[in-house]
Amino acid sequence: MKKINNQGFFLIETIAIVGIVITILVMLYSQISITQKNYQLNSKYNTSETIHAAKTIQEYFNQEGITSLISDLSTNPILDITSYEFDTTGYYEQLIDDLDINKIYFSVYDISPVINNYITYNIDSGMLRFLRSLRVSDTSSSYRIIMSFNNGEYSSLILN
Amino acid sequence: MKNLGFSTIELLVSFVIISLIALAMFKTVIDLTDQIDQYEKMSEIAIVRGTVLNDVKKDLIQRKIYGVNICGCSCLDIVFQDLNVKRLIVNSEEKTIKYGNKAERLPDGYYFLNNLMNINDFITYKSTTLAMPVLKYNTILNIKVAIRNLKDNNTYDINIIHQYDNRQTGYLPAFIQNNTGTCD
Repeated sequence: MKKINNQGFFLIETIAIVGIVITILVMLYSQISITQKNYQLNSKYNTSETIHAAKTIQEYFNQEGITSLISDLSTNPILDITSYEFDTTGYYEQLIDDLDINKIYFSVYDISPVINNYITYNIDSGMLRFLRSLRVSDTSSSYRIIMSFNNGEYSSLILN
Repeated sequence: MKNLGFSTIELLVSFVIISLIALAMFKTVIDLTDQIDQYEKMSEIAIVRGTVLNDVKKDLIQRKIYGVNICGCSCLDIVFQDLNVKRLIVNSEEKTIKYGNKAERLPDGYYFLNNLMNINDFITYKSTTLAMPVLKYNTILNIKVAIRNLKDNNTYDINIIHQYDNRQTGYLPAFIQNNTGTCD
């Protein structure tokens, strides 16, 4: 007659199963945390408000002309133009202040050199994260306006 | 037949461990539910901000602004060059912002913050005109509605910035502000 093993689980078996369940839960929680962090960051990128702000700056650039900025880009792939003197009336300064802009950059379309040498160009970690999120689809000859705002939001607009 | 099963101590230890896991899972589920709720509200506030901003900016660009009159506390009349007027009004008690005939309500947990100068005024309006050369923008219109959340310290303001040349009024004379109300 076949002997029936009817001893139930050992404590060590229970602990092993519990250990596996805990590991799975920790992995799940860490993945959720990463997704949550990415969501929080992405919710601050290119919001309707910051896109309107970028368009306002673009309108101003269209009016003032950006020939000198483009020539300056031949030596640097990115320029910090937060305090650039476009006019002598203080209009640009007022615009930056009203739009609540923290930093404004003018750059080449392909920002890979900036990302690779971010320390050289004095790019902070928040801006670097935003630059890494920008898509570079081809070798376009256009330019970018990249802005960070005082409320922690970021925006980028391509100028043709 | 040998029939050992669990000993009391094994059962107790297992029970304690399973209880701890159940507790941790319960807490995680509650936290996640809270976060989902928070994200839903964040999406809602983003929609409110975007809708108001897009509607006002669209009118300011397409219909061309003539000027702005104050129509009382938290109330602005935006006058366009076709002489039509659209009212922007904030009701802090009902938590609504209305532009023209379209009203948007803030999601739960969000509130309008009064401006620094007047506790009854929930719209900050500023117009700056500078001595720019002819045919260039010389005026920056700044309409700000401050919005805060009870749980975090983030700002969810609606910040409407529009630049225009206030000397370019078509056939109309220069705009003279004619307020129809005050906010004291």
